Amino acid sequence: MTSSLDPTDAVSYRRRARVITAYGLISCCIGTAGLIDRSLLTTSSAVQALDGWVVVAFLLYQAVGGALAAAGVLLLRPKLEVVGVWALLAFVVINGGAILVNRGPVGGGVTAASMALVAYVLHGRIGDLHHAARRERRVVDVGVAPDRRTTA
Amino acid sequence: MTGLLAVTSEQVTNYGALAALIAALAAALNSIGVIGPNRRKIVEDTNSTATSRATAALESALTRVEADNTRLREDVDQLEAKTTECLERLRIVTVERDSLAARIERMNAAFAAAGIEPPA
Repeated sequence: MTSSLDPTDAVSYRRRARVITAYGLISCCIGTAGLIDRSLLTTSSAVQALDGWVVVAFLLYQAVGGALAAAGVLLLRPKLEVVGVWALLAFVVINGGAILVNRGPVGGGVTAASMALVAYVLHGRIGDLHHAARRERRVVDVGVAPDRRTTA
Repeated sequence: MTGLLAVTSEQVTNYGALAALIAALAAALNSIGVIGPNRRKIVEDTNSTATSRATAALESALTRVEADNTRLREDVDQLEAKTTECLERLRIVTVERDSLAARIERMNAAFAAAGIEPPA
């Protein structure tokens, strides 16, 4: 019986990771738009709080991480996905921190808490993928050919 | 003093963000087994799995050989019993043949004594 963390069961795997796919695709779109036209992000706390080159790295993580995470789910490649989710996690943590720095703990508290929730979900997904990878590595399938003397 | 604190806060934010980006990159590489402790774990797991697979294959082969031996032992037992039975039947047939030969010999002697040609 396959689990929803086993990429060979495509439907269950993608169903379980729907949140990652959606968040990855949205992040990819927003990050790419921000990289193309920085003026779209003038109200962003991260852009206001961070220096220019850190913002570029931040947006790259958002765009590339989102693309990798979504692609990992859709192409059933957990390794690709885990890299993307780590990048998204960094993006979310930095964004939450920037919101706190920019708006203060009261003004930005709710948004920062939402970011923390997203980070929690992303971290949970990483844990799930690690667990699944380890379980897969430890599977012992005895690859012994059938006895030809008895099956002849 | 306030200016100094403001500058420090900005630097902290920037360097914190940079550290987070680098840490995420390192964590991602660790996750896929390129660097870090997960790489060692993957190697250990792979070795452990290979050992388990080899052990299981050996056990399977051994079980098969044991089953073959059992089957062979049964065949040999059966053959031995059959051989013993055949030898016994051969002994009986031999005794019977000797007895019949003796009787024929006696009859021939009786015919000869009576001066009659024994039947062919």
